Amino acid sequence: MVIADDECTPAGGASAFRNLLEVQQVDVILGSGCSGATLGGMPALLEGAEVSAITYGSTNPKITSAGNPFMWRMNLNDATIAKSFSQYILDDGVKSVHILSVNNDFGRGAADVYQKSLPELDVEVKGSDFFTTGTADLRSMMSKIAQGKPDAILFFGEPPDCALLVRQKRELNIDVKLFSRGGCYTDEALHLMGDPKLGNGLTEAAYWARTPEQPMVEAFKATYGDYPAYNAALAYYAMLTVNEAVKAGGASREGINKGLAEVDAVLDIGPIKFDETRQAYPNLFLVRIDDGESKVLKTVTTH
Amino acid sequence: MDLLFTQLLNGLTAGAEYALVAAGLALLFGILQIVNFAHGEFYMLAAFILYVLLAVVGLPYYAAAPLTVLLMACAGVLFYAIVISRVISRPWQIQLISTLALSIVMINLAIVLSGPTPRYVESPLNNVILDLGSVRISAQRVLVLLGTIVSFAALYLGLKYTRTGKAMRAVAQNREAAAVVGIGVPVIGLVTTVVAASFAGLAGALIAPLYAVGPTMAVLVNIKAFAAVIVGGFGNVKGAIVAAFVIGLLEAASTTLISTEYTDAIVFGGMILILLFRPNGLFGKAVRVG
Repeated sequence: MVIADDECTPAGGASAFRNLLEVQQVDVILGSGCSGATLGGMPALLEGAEVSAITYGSTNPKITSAGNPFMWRMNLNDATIAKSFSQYILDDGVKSVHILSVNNDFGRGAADVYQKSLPELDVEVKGSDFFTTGTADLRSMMSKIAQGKPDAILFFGEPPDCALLVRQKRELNIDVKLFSRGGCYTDEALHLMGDPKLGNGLTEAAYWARTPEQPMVEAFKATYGDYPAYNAALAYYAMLTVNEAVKAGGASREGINKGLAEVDAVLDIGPIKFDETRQAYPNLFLVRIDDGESKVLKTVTTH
Repeated sequence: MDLLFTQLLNGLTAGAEYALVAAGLALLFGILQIVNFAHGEFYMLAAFILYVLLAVVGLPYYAAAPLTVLLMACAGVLFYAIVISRVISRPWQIQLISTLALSIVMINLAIVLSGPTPRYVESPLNNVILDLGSVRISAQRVLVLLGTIVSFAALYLGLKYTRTGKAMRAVAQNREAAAVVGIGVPVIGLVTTVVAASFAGLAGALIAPLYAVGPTMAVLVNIKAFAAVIVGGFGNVKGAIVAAFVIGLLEAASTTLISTEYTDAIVFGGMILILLFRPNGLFGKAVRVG
């Protein structure tokens, strides 16, 4: 196994994919875990090496709608997640939301999807704002959002950004519901909130969560002393998916690509079977922070 | 009206944070003519020192914060001895590469030593929220504002009225002439570097509890601090401080009146516009060459 750093950016993804294809000459790529890096790297797959890549964490719908025959996705995409999550938001009594997203391919892709899916359910989208990841101060944006009096904020961002949002939301005393995608429910986000109870009531639609059905989680903790991060856990299931592909088509590059099309496995996170766009439909986890802890409210089947 | 006052306060607090980082940057350039690309990483180092003092050593915040500034002053001595003193008389290209290299080394060292995951820094003032009628603000943020005002007042008075401050201004005006009249230029270089590092320490000690401590925490704030230094008139400390507040207020205004999507474009567009009409920045003076 060789590792390439995609820096979670389009340019980093392009560089990492090229390195793996041309220098390391790998037979299959696991990744990227970031939408921007995957979108930046996947054109390199079309340049003749016939190597397949499987993303386990990129959710931008463009990745599988682009028609790249070597790009596979075993995690849910935002279009699929939005179908269940938008309905959940409506069922929670929300009539209007303001979308706040990180300004990258993940955040922009997700914001685009929900700007369509929520109005279809008669949930008004009062506005959509973007921030640069690592932005230290979200207070100006939140003050403006509060002025519009939405019932909820729908947030797309990484755990540190989410922790900042929760802390500054408390500081400004903005009393609206919070829904999220991207890692607000993770141990990292809860830790960075300082007081994890600040996140109480937040609901996240997650493509992975710790559940008792996954023995890997406790085994990982026993070995490494901590629970796996969500991308690490999904990379493990991506590796199992490759294993299934090798069993079906052999270990050659061509065999792996053909084998992935034939994968029909039930992993601990749900079924993995790719459709004609090379998109799989494992389970969706609705997670709520309650009393400072993330609890899985519901496991939703998406296939 | 409430929103206006809230955003004014948001702009001022953001500006105070940029100003604290920009001050050290402007000092080093203004007095020693060195552009320190690693200055943001000194702010990151200070935040990590604060984290270690709080979470590992177990000191209370009120002891850890001043100790952080003190330790950063010591880091300034090391920085001067290892980097600045060796490049101060060398061409600007060597100065640029050496501080840029230090910046990259510091970020990667932080990743190796602490991992890429950010850490939370606890301050008791974070949980104290002051309710000022229609506006709410954490006591930690008020401390940042007060710290900024007090430290800049001390810097202004120090530069204007103390012998060392006058010597620093003399070196800034003409290094050779200052040496001719008996000013110890290396000593002033050391003092300047220590003061700049202490400002980075103060920024880390005050600002880190508001956010999270991580290897790349300084990247964005450093860009804004550089913008403030350039707009203020490169090397002009007063100009950098004023420009930092202007940037903070401009960000808050553009977020409210236009869109968050264009905040950075507006801030940096404004910077370009100012430089078009005042190439030496708001407070900079033209220098005759040759």
